[in-house]
Amino acid sequence: MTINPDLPFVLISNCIPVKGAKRSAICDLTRSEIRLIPNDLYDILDLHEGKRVGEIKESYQNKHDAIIDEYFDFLVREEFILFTETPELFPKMDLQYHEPSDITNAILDISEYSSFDPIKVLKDLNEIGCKHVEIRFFRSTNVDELQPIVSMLNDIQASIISIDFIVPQSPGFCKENVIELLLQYPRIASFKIYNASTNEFIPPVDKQRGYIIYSDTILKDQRCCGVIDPSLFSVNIKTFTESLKYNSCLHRKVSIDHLGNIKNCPSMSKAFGNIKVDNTEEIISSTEFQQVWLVNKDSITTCKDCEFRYVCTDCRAYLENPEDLYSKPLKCGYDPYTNTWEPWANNPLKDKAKAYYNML
Amino acid sequence: MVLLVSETNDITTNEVVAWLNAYGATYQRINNDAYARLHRVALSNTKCNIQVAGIDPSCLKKVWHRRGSLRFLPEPLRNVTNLYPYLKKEEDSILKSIEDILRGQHDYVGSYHKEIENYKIDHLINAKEADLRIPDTLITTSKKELIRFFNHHEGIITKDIRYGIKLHLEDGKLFSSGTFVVTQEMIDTMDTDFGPTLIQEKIEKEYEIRIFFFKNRLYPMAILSQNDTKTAVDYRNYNREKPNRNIPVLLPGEIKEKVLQFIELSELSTGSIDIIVSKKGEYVFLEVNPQGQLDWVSKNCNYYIEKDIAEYLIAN
Amino acid sequence: MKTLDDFKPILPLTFQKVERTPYDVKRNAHFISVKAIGTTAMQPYNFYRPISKMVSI
Repeated sequence: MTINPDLPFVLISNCIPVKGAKRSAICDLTRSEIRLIPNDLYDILDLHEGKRVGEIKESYQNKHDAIIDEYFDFLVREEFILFTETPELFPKMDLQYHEPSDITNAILDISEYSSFDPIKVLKDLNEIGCKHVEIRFFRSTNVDELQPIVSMLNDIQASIISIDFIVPQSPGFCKENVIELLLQYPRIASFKIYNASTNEFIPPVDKQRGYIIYSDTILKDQRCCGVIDPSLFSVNIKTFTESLKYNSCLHRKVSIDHLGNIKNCPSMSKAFGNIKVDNTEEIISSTEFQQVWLVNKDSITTCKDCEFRYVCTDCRAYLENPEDLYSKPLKCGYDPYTNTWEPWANNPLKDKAKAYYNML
Repeated sequence: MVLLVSETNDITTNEVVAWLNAYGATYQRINNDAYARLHRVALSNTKCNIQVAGIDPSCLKKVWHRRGSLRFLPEPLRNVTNLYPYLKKEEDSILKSIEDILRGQHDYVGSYHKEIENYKIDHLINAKEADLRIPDTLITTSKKELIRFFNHHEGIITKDIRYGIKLHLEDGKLFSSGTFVVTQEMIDTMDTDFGPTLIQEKIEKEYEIRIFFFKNRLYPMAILSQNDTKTAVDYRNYNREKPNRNIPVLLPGEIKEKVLQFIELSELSTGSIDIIVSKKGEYVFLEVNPQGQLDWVSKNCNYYIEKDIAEYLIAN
Repeated sequence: MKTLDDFKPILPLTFQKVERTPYDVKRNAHFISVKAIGTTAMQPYNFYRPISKMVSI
């Protein structure tokens, strides 16, 4: 495709521009990519969609023709736009978000201090319609411990359709064993091994199996969570539409911390009950439990000005200002006012918060 | 009470079920691989009573026949190679009647026999009667006719008439490659007479539209595949590196009317229609699939079709 | 013995462009069907966003 000067253009409706303080991002929701663009281009897309390129040049008194051509070459190359005689037939995408289950995802933490039965917890989660569960082990484990868990989900034909494991490295988790486990259980969506000696990503054997990550990151407990990093961005229609209205990490999430406490997230201090004695279903239906679900990126300081705000999956547990629920995530080293990434841990301004969370 | 007829692994059905659960609906799901008891089709001059799968007919409000069909053959029989083909034929013949009777007595969306009897020629005729443009089409066994058609048009394509080629040979499997352009070389190799072949004029396309419809609700999606030649003829020749752009699109009012008329003429309650918007701006009807995929239309366009289907099934 | 190619001049035109795929024995040996999983759906069953954020690639 080349620029067609005779036809109006429209944006491909699942490529959505998001304006930031100093630059913007086009979120390509079906190819799962982000392309950064200047705010000038954002404004052109916002104000002049449906017009011909010539008309657009004229509205800037033809003073910026060359740069407008550059912009449109870029848009054509990336396949972000369409030239058509009938722009009115290409509407904006409806950004609705709907979800039948109250809970879509859950974290279950297990440490040497855990005394609850993970299988019972999974059955409870299954009852409330949870579809995706991540189990994080903060003590060593082995295939013999994991197998019955997944096997049980198969036996009851659980509506939990994916299970992710995060485990510390141990001899039992050599590549062959893990690959074999994933081949046997398509329900395992991913297997992440930390404290490993290498960093390796092993892609799915075929579209119906999980992927494996070996990471040399040293993880001790839930305080290692909350990382904000482009590799953890999620660029798709579901996340994007959810992020517009809801908190992109905690929405429809329930967590069981390593002591069995029912929380929004294991890293948050507020416990709403304990899995051993309380009814999970009642707890997750309560207004108090769901309160933090409404803290969306547009209400968070700094994040509201960031071009990545609808693809970043936030963290409400570790905040730059622990007293302010609407402050920026502690572990975000990005500054949308300068467009720079700094390693958050090295920033001395974050020390007070780190001490508060006992991270030093 | 809602009856769902489907296949075990059908994602769309799973999603509709999740919505039915959320709405507290009463439903029963019967999958293709399960055995359904045929209690009775009882006919007399004064009555026509039907009961299947333990469902009380007076409680049954709606049926969504998404995939597969009810199976009345006990499971052990399905693997008996020399008996099964005969039994399946017998079963197929009653399935049609049962579907028709249920359709007469309940709100029944979807079909098994419409999928089996998916006759391209009949659909092209219905489209023509609905005043939709259809490609010039020829079905022939004659090389002479083939050459005449080829010379008469700028370009021609061919595709399977009803069933895609799926053969098991000694050294591997053989598959159709979908729709493709017919060249002079191919024609030259053909004999004077050959097996029935369907050819159509090649329409230079601006873009394609896949319309999923459920009763008279249309969900159109545009498939833009201009940028690469691999998908230029048939978007099912899937370019794995860069997926095509699939986006929501609107139909002009008069096209929408014609499509609805086509749906009525073809007596379909659901399915997927393929249309090409030509470079000249014409909307050209290609074909319809009664049991088509809707997952990708629903997800790419963010339509939540599954939620709409669930809401339809529980409505009065 | 006549091969498929010998028949092509009298088969329907669609046989001009059939695709041949070898049997994939290795893949068949590993495939296990699990109820409610194991489909050829458009997207895998991973949750659409990270559930927790501890390990970045």
